[in-house]
Amino acid sequence: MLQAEQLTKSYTSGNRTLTVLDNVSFTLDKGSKNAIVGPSGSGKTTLLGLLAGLDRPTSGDVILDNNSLNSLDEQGLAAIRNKYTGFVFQSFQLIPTLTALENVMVPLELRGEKNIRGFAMQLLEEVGLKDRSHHYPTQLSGGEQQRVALARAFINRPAILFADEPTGNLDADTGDLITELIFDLNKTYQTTLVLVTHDMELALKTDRILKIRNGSLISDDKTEPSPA
Amino acid sequence: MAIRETRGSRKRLFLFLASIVMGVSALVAIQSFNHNLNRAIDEQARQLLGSDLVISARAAFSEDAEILIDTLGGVQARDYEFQSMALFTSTGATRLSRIRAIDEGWPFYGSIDAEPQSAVETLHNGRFALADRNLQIQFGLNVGDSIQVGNLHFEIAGFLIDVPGESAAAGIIGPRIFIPAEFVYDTGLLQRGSRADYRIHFQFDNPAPIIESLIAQRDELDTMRLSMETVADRQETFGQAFSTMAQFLGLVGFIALLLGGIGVASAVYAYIKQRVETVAVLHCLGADTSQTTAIYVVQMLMVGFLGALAGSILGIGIQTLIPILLQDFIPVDVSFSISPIAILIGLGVGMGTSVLFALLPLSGIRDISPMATLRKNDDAVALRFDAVRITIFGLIFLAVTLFAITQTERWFHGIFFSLGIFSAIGILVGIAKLITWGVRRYFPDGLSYVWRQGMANLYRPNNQTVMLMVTIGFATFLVATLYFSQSIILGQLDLTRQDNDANLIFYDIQTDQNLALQNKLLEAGAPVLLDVPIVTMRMTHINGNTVERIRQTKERTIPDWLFAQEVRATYRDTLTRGEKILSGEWIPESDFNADIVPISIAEGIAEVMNLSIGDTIRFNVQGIPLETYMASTREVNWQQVQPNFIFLFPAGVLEGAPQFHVVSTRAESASESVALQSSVVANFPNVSAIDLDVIIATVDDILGKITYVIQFMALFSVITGLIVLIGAVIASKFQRARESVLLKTLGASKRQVMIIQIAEYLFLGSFAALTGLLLAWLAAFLLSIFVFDTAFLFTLLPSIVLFVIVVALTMSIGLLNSRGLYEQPAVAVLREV
Repeated sequence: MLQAEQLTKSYTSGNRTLTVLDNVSFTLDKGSKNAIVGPSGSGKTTLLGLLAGLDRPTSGDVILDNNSLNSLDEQGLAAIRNKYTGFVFQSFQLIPTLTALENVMVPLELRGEKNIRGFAMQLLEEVGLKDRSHHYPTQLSGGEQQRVALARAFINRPAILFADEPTGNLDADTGDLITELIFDLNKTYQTTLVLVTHDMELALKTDRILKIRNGSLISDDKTEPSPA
Repeated sequence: MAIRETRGSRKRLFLFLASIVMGVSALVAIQSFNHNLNRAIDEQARQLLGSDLVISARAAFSEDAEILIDTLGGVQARDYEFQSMALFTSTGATRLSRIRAIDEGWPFYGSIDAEPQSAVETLHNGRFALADRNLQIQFGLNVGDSIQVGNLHFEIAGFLIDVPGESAAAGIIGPRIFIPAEFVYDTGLLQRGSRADYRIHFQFDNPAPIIESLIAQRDELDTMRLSMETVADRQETFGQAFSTMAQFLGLVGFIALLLGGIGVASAVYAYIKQRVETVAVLHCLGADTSQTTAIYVVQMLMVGFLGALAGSILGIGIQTLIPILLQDFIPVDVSFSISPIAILIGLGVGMGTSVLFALLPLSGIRDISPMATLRKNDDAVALRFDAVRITIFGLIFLAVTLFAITQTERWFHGIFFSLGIFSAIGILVGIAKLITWGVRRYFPDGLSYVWRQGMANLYRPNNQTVMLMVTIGFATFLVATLYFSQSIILGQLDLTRQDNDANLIFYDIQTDQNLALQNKLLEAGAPVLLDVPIVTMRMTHINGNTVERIRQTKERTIPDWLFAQEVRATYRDTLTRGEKILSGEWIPESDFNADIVPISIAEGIAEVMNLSIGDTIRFNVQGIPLETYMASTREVNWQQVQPNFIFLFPAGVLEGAPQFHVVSTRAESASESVALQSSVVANFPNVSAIDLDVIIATVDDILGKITYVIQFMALFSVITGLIVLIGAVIASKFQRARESVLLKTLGASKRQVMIIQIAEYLFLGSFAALTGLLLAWLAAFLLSIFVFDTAFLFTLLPSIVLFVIVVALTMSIGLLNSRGLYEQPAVAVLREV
């Protein structure tokens, strides 16, 4: 489903070159649940950005469902993201001028699809926000905003869901609720999951843990997932 | 601390100061120009009059007047001015012109500028004339061509460029023709009843004692119906007139500053909302609200000072453009100099405006709780009405009113201006809110996502949509109202042309010429639509009191011109279409031998003269006293293209009096009109014609020049509106970039992100234009009814053109500032926590 091929990302500042990701390779299976873990500054968010086509590697490539992301321009990358991926961000990233329902519909609206309101409402119901569909982000709590973001992430039935510290801005109880929802929706919609976290407890709920340190992949372990 | 706190926001702060730059520059430019103009008037005062003293009368000087003139001595020059037709023999064309017959020697101070300059000397060497430059352009005249004025032909020696005491615009109202005074009576145009100004200019070695003694004899001069004007009088008249003009233009410029102030208030509000965490941290660290507020007030003072300084420097530059802009209206040469007072006013008013308007949002700092460090609260700086904010509003109103009073020098005008501006802004805010609410409420769901997102962007948190609609809308309102007013006035004349059969009026027709002239018109196929007799007379008594005595009464409300001039009355046994009796009884017929004759008086004048039905007026009809009483008052439609009269006599009274006639006709085309005028003037040189098309063209020309000047000042408001827009667009750039990147992450194409931006500015521009146009239509409607007294003419095309321009400008600025949004790396959304 997703293949990282010798991914390297470096930044040049004056005479200095800083390598934040160094020659990382792996393959993710379709429908698998994967966690990328590592301490702050280890390069895990950089890796997620490259895998999702949000950023370009200095060298190496990402193959997503047989599409080489390196070969695509910005427009092409946007189209791939819209077709294959869903995102959940640590800081929710809802559009403040749209209601919860409108936020959920955005990915499909960008495709020009019609009659999507029903599915969007179904997703909001699945995340327990049916009654808050006409509220604006500022009228929702952090946990509620993240639930709307989750519904938005699944609206285009993504082949792969990227989640970047999805519980990082939430309290423990709300974080647990969001985690539960992510795994439930992942199961329902048969999505490949890529979860970036520094929370080992959360990571242990996935099938596979990729550990990053100082920009290098230091371990790639299959896990016996604990019940979500 | 105030300076350190600006780190990272200095660019944004510079945008605030840009909001007030144009307003301050307008103020400094006008103030400085006014200062220079007053100095020029002081320095060139004698050139404005061309002499030390002028004595004038509306009729030939009486014997007593001539004796007085003789006793005054000095060097004297006579000057006669009247309206008459001029016939250009090379083309056969005619034009109603302002004839001025001058003695050699005038002006004693300054000089007449002509092309060629030698023509001024040539003028007095025979039957030569100096023609207005407008006539040269309009009729293709050349030096050496012949002009017929009355019975005489004059050879054109040159063309007038500049005449002491007259602005270039004077030539537009009535093109001037100068001839030597020695030929004036031979033209046959100065006959009894003809309207003319008779003047005599004096030059004295020591004018002061003579003028003092004349001032002491003012009553005697009044009795002889003489007016006097000294250099000081002329200086005062011009000084006042141009001060009023400068004050008016200054106030139009001041509006730009107020709009800038609104821009500052809105931008500071957005700025403070982004500073909530900083303020909350400072509060956690022990700062009290007065300390945190002081930090930002000091910042605004610095920004205000820099903005006012930049505006003052720009204003000094713009000041050089004002004399060029006003060259048609100014009769003196204005030299450039920097006025420190103007700069001080600019700095003071600029800083004051920045700080006062910034205080409104800055007062919100009081509401920021230290808890904001722990919990984000979007309502941390909510603008609620409380005692402090009401006080700040009051201060702003007071400051604007005080400034307006100092500008207009009349407290009533200052308050009126202030109320007017704040009402206009209030209405604009109301319209803006109504539009934004209405569109959001009824925006079609069926429209594609990108258009809906573009619309939704106008309502993003910390948006400045309503403020932008008000600032851009106000600028649109100013420009549109000027244009609509001009259209209404011209449209009114145009309507008159369509509604009324007559479009050509001949006047000053002597009784013995009347029949022959009418036959001439009929031969040419032109109908005689009206033949109105006119009898000149003078008022001598009102209710038994002599007019001289009434004139000396301090409480009198009757204007001087009613006494000083001969009045022109007519007689008939019917009322015209435009007349309606309002009080009393219309008596159509009477008798010359009756003890007292019933007359009808125009409503407004009867009111000014404080007359009631039955009050008596005695006239002197060319030597014969005639006792009358006001039998009725009537409404007169002065806009009708026909002679209208204050005093209407019944038939049977004035038929035997010396009189002249006005005849109106209708020419079917411009060429027929020219032919009729040429034929009449060639046969009856003393007869003058008024061509409605020429009047419309003249009014259009004058209005065009006036609106051009006002529009120049309104341009400052337009630019301020655009600067405020730029500021708002840049201030929200981060948020828009974030939204674009997020959309890109969710799969939006470049085209989709672009359309969202286009939609946002298309909607914003449309709302702003509509806001301004709605108020302009309202203003035009009110002006039509209450000022121009005519039907409201709604003109769609100019509105559409203005709408398109405003939308295009808004979109251009918005999109220019949104370049590169799509190119922002999508990974940024992962980095933002």
